[in-house]
Order: sequence, then structure tokens, then C-alpha cells
Amino acid sequence: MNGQEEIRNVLRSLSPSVAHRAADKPNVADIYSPPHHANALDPNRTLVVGGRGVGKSFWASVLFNEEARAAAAQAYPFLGLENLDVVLGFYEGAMGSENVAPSASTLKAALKIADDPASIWRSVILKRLAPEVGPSTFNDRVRWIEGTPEAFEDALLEVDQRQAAEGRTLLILFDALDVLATDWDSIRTLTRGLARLALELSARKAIRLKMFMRRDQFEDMRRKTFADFSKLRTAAVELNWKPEDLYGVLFTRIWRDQAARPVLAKLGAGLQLDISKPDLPESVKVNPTTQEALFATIAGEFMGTNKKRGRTYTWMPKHLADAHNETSLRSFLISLKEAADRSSSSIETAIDHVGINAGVLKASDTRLEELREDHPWVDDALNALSGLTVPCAEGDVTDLWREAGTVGLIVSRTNAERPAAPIQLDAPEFTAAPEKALLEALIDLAVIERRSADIINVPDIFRVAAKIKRRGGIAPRRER
Amino acid sequence: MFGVDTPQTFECYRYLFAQMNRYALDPDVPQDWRFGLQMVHAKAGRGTEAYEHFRDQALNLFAEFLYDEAAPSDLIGFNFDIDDDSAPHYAWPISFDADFVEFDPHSRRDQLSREFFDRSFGLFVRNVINNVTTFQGQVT
Repeated sequence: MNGQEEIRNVLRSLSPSVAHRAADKPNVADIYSPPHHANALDPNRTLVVGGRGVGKSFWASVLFNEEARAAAAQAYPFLGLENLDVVLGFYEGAMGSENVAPSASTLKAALKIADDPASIWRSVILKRLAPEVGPSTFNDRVRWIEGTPEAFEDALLEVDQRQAAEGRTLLILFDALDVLATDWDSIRTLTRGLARLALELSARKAIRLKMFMRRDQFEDMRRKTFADFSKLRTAAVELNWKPEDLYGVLFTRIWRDQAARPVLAKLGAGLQLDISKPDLPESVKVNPTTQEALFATIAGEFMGTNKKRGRTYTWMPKHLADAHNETSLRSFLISLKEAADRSSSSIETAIDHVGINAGVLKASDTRLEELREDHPWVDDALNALSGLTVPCAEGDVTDLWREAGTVGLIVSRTNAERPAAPIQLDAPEFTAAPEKALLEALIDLAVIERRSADIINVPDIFRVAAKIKRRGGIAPRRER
Repeated sequence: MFGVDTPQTFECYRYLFAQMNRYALDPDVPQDWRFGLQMVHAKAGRGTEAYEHFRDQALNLFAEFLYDEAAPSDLIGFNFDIDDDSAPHYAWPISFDADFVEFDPHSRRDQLSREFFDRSFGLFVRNVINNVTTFQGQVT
């Protein structure tokens, strides 16, 4: 026993599969605060954009939950998080009349009667600003606000002044904007209304809105170039994880485990890690060289016996990255957990390249599964590409779709209740060649990458699960 | 394997790769010699776009003649992702530098300074050192 068992146990206990909701109570011990995530939490930055699994809902829940917010305030002392009063304006799973946040059904009904979608959101925040003002049912309040805007404004100004006098800021969070409605038109309309209200409120002293938005929705809004949205867009904050942040999370989880911490300190003996400190030493959080040396002690240095196979430290995030070169924290944790589950005490390190390899395959399956949930049409598009080899010409891909009648299939499965076709299929420039629309859609989602001279590639994280091969000319040889 | 980003470079390497392909098929070679290959992008333009253009063409050669055909889930075989920096097709760039066209260290000693050659050759030299160390580690 060299202590690697303790490290392996921490990796096995990672629970990355749980998708977080903004209303869920976050585990304070799970909070890891990369310095560049400060902007995403800053109450003055309205729009936060990120891919699936980067932790948008997690950060929303941290801001919402008092205990977690206090912890985040220590990590980001300059944001004034300790002076916030936070309420959820929308989140996945919102329901009932007790909440400030409306359900998707309530919003749908309100869309039918509202002249201006911003009134719908005014109605939402009024419930927090002045619960007794105006009618009690949602739609009545929307009508009332549209009929007597000054009453809403008075309530707004009064709360703003009161908050400012108390030195506190009211922050209203909007998460999971892609489930505001079940069709893209309604989602767009509601999002525009919210963007307009956010701009109006930016002139207030002590009331702020904050929106967490998935990147494909952001791209859609950007493409439509709504005037209300373009002002927010330029100030949008990107939420992402650099490789050193991912490893920072890993080492923090190990550090916080009583049994594993001394093991890690011993493995990194040259780094002089002080195990009496509750917090992971700074160098292990930010310094790639330090991290790489430490990771090699628990995962081996190389991806195999042949040392030209690449280093485990860089290999992992790279093979988990999408075409925007982004790796989601969830994918990273899934592959570490899988690697640990596959490894046993028969190896010298906590995990090894065989386990990491299996971990990446597992993460690929999960990533594609998530993509299917968000965009059911991706399944039809990728099924038709099974057996393809990449990199290849764009034409090879569109030909396969044409032969398989993929666009027709996707369109036939679309119905009003489900935004099941890519938005690009509606674009006039692709009418003659709808397969190109499909290609653009997958490029937007970072599933496909356009290389030089009409060549496209599919990164491993999607390629593996989609059963697409890498080009290679030499037939499989027998084991040596 | 050095080369400038021209069609001639890749046309000529095609002959060599086609020849090497015959030896890659030999299943009884104890240590895979293919791991010893590395492309070097000579007189490279600056910027990712220039590098990618060279690497994509190098990948074409490797994929056609030297990379194993691998099942979708095979990440271990001798086949590399287009952007895998440990791949032999992932060329190490040596940037074009007009100063080297008139290279004359006899009369201009400062041309032998680190500052002078690092601009073009720094990355290349570091990669060579890393790989030589790796190789030595393998022998011991």
C-alpha cells in the first residue's frame, strides 16, 4: 500500500453525472473558484455564456444559496457578494404560484396576452419588489403593468432606493433560458424581453439582473441581431475551464479528503506542500508545471509504455475538448471517475493510461447523450455518418446526408412542441442545399470543426461515440 | 523530416511515405520505428493558420501511408488526432526569418546570440531536447 488507494477512492467518489439546477443546494465543499470565473459571478455583468456542463447552473445556485454565497465571497472578495440579496427569476423546474420564478406554462400563457414580452418579466420581478402591489395572478399582473406602467416604476424606484440606502444589491437570477418554452420562437421572444428589462435596470443603483445562457442560444440570438440583445452581447462573460482549472478542481478534491491529503503531500515531496492548511496551495492551483509533475505521480507520466504517446496531463483535456477547444468540467470528472473505477491495486498509480482511455470513451458517450437531450436532431445527423473517416472533405459529409435523406428525416420529426430541427434549416441562404445548414449547425455546436480548404474534422469527444473513425491506411495488424 | 509548405514538398514525400508504408506492415518489428518520425515545418509563416495548413497536409500523408486503421474507440493505436501535439504529423515550426538569409556569424558575432536564433529556432530546439531526453529515458 503506497497510499494510491486513498487517491483512487477520492476519484471514485466524484459524482459528476448529476446535472445541477439553480434551485438545488450546492455542496459547499464542491466549490472551486478559478480566478477568471470572477466575472461570471460579478453582479454587474448581466450575461454569462457557456457550453453545457461548464457550471452555469452551479454558479447560479452558489449565488442563490446563502451559505455557498458566503464561501464564494471569500474566494472572490472584490465582488461584494456579501452585500447581495438574491432571488431566482427563472430556473429549470420552477413551478407554482409561491415562487417568484414562473413555470414554462405560465410564461406560455402570458405570451398570448402580453403586448411587450418585457412586461412578462416586469411581472416576475414585481412579485419580489412589491408582493402586495397589483393583482395577484400572473396574467392579470402583466395586463396591469401594461396598463399602468407608472405603478410598476414607482415600486421599482422605491425598492432601488431602499436597497441602496441599506448598502445592499438585489440580484435577480435567470438560469436555463433554453427551457423558457418548448419552441425557439417563444424562447427568442421571451429572451429579448428579458434583455430589454436588464438594460432598463442597468441604470438602477441597487437592482441587477443576471442571465446564464447556453452558447448555442447565444449564437442564435446573436445571429438574429436584436437591438436589445446586441448591447448585452458585447459585455457578455464567457464561462469556461482552462486545463489548469480542471486540474485545480481535481487536486482540491483530493486535498479536502483527510486520508488523501497526506498522500498527495508525500507524492509531491519536492513541492513542500503544507498539509496543515485547509486550502490547496496556490502553486497546485495555477502552475501547469507543478500540476503536471503531481498528476504524473497518480496517473503515470505517459499515455502508454511508448513515451511518444503523449503526456497524461495534456492528453486528457485535449481528448475531452470540443471543436472550440473547450473541455467541460463534467467530462473531465466523468473520465477521472471511470478511470479510477477501472483501476485496481494491481497498478502502481491510482489510475493509469488504460483507465484514462476508458474514461475518455465514457465521457464521450455522456457528452453525446447530453447533446441528444438538447438537440434531438443530432442523433439523426450523426447516425448517417457512422463509419465515416475524418478528417474528410465537407462534401463527403453532405453527400452522406443527402443519400440517407437525413434532412427530410429531421424535418419530418419536427413538431411545434419541440425545437427538434436545427435553427439554421430556416435560413434562406441554405434553402438550395439544406445539408449545408446541418453542417453549419454542427459547427456551431462545436461538434464539427472546419479546417483549411474545405476539410472538416470531428474531435474525439464526439467522434468516438458517433462511431466515426480517424483516417488511417494500414489495416489492423496482429498483436505483437 | 523537414519541409517548406509547398506542393513539391508533399509530392516528394509521397514517394518516401509510399516506400515506408511497406515496412510499416511488418508485424515482427520489435520496436515501432514509426514513433521515431517527426515533421518539421521549415521557413514557416507566423500564426496558427500557417501551421495548420502544413500540419493538415502532413496528416494526409501519414493517414494514407503510416497511420493504422483504427476502430472508432481505439485511442491507443498508431493514429493521432489532427491537433494532437505528440503526433508525428504535428510539425514543429521554424519561423522564416529574413536575417538568416544573410546569415554571416563570422563578421556578425551577435548572430550567434541566443536572442537572435531563439526567435526562429527556440521552439524547435526545445522540442528536440525534450524528445532526446525522452528517448534516453527509454533506453535506461
